[in-house]
Amino acid sequence: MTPSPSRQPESRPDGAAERLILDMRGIGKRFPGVVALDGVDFGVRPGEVHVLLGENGAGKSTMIKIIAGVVEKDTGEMVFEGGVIERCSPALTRELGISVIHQELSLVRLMDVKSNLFLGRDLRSANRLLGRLGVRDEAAMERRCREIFTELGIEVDPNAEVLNLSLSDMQFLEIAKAVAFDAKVILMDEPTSSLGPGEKEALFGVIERLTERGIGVVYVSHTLEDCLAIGDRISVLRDGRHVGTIGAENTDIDTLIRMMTGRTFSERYPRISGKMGEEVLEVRNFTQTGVFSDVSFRVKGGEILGFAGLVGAGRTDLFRALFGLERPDGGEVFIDGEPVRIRKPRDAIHHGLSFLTEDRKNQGVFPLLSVLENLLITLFNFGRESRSRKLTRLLGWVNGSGATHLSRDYVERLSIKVASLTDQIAQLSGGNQQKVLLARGISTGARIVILDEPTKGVDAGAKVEIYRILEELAQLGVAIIVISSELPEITAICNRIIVMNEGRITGEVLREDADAETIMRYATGTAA
Amino acid sequence: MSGEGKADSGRGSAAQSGGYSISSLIASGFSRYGLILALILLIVFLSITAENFFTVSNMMNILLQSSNIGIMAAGLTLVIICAEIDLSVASIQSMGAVVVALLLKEYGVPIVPAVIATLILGVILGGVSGVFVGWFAIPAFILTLAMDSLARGGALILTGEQSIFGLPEAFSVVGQGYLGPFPMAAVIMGVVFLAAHLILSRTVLGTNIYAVGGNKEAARVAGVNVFAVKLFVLVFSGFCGALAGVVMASRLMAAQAIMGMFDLMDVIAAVVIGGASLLGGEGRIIGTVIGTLIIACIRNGLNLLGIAADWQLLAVGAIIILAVLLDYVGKKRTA
Repeated sequence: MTPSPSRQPESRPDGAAERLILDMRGIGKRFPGVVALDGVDFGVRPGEVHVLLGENGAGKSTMIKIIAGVVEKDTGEMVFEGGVIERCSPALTRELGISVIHQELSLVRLMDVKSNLFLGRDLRSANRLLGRLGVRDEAAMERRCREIFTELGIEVDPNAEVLNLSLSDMQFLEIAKAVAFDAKVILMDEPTSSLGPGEKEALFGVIERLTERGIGVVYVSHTLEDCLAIGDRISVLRDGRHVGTIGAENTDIDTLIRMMTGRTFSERYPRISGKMGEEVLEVRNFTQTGVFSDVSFRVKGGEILGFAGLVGAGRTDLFRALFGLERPDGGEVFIDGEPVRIRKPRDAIHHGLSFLTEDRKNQGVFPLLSVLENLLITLFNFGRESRSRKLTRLLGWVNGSGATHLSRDYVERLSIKVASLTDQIAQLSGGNQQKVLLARGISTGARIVILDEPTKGVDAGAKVEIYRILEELAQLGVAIIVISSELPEITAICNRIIVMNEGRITGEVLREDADAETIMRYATGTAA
Repeated sequence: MSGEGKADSGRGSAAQSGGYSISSLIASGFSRYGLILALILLIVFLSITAENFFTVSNMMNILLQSSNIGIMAAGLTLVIICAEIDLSVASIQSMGAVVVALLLKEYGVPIVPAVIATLILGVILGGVSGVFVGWFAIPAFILTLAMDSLARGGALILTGEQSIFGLPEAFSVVGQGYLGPFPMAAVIMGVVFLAAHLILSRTVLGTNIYAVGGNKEAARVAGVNVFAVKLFVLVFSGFCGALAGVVMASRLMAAQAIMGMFDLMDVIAAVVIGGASLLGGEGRIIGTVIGTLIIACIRNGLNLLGIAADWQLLAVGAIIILAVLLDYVGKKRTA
């Protein structure tokens, strides 16, 4: 891919005069040890949907954060409606009319819809005294709320509690909020990640109405089909560089993948396989009311079993319950054919399970602790095992040389890049942090390793290394369960894929028969 | 312990990472050396302004006076690193003093069993807090506030608001005796500090305390018994409270339910000045040691300067605000 045709910022194919609401010119941003953005141009025209595409770590979120004023750029220029913005801040961008719809919605759940819509700028009573005192004009707020909703084609009751809204309605409310704030540019970060197919259509309808109003939409997503369907133009970032910008009608998925990754499909998702052995885990009729129900499956040693499904299908909850982090309401678990009771993570680990959570930051690493402590903490907490491996002595006294030795072994085996074992883990890259957590998981001799979105926030190189580690484990006869929303990943690395929809298993496919379409049909519950 | 093991594995604010700006260097420099510097400056200032401050006997006096605060601060450091709080230590101290005095005076229990029984009482009170906080997930702030009231109330009921005098002469060795040049009470404080330091830096339990305080969810997933860790820190704090009570009763050879009423403030100040974060996950015993000495020097120096107790209270308050502010600034820079 040669970047040359796109180095000219925003050269328009049709040659018409360029009018941009937002023009980011030559944006550069460095974080310690990483170049997040390197001279990237990115512009938004009024009334267009401009897709920002790229792998994790390509620099999309950094660009969004710079536009939103959350992160300061190092170099480059931000031009909004012809005026150069020198120092950006979240308050300033909002003032200018740039709104960001985040993946994590920022609504006040205990307030009603209209109050959320006007949060921070309530309409006040027309009576001057009452208005001064901060008395709200409920009727006017409701009226204005209905107006905006009608205009956007949103069907939500202004008086409903946000708490009771569906995820997609909450998202619509966020969009309406942006419109109520007179947004001229709306940034949407993975807006469809938690939506069902019907809801997605509705969202696209709303986006269309936004563009009719002349609002520029920046759309970030990993779902290439969606990007092609909704986007007018697509800009691709890779490793912090602008690879190119093309019209959505002039491209296809293969081209986009090549632009995004710079490598072919099979290099990115190597097929890996293990040596299939005896059945090690069986789950029968696992149920947690309202979350998942009647889930049964088996895994063999050396097998790599995938769990596919949309976000919210109950996969994470299922395995949190299996690992003892939640209480299931019913069901049985058998390990090596023996029934076991798992009430807390310690029981699970004791029975040879290991769980790598999806939320590395909040449920994985201890950012202030060293790499060594992060790696060994689980083993430390299993006293007998830890003493027999010369890690600890009586009363949990840590044997420094033993601990250093063992962790160095893991660091080498998993090729974790770390300057010193005593460095804080927060200094490591996402991929290396993930490898430390993986090492922690297998350090106790786990025979069933559960990984929830193992390559989320991990760059392409480290991804392949993680796949290799999984393969090595599978060769050793470890049963591996991978929860992943990344279809190419799951279809490449898993022997067998179970698909869930709304808390139930809706389908199962072998790798040979696995294709994105079949899995999506099961995942959306639309399979015949 | 090999050099590269976990010795000095950079726990605590001294090793905040990732910041490159000058202000963050200053902030991290402050937490590394600033504390000692502050203590030295304070000593120099008081040596110049207050007569008799910089003498061997006064230094020993400071150690003696700081001993019960220091013992409690050692316990509280573990609690705070674990992202909890114990507001009941000072009342447990009073309870401990009253109980040991009653056992000795009213019930004629020999010294050693009386002290042991008092320490066990501290463990039990801490354990009650620990069970409620760890198992029922009741906020430690509320629960230990209640425990504070219970312990203080219990001490008042036991003594009927009277002071207890006339404890056996031999008991005075704990609080008034000397080991070489050092007051016995200060030696006890040193032992408690050392034990707390070793727990934090050299044991699995220490790693667990940092882990639970830094990221409770992750600790649970990693197989740490979070309940046991919380129970331990509060039990340890209760133990330290009762021990401080024994030391105080012995030093004064008397006990009264309302003595040490305002000690909680000094204890929290010592820990926070020492750099332990109230958000949990970081802090070191060495910091608390210096924090304790700073508080003790201020108290002692202000006394020598003839400044009244109410103004001293004001000074301690101001110092806590300063310490928290520095902690906050340091965090913000390095975040």
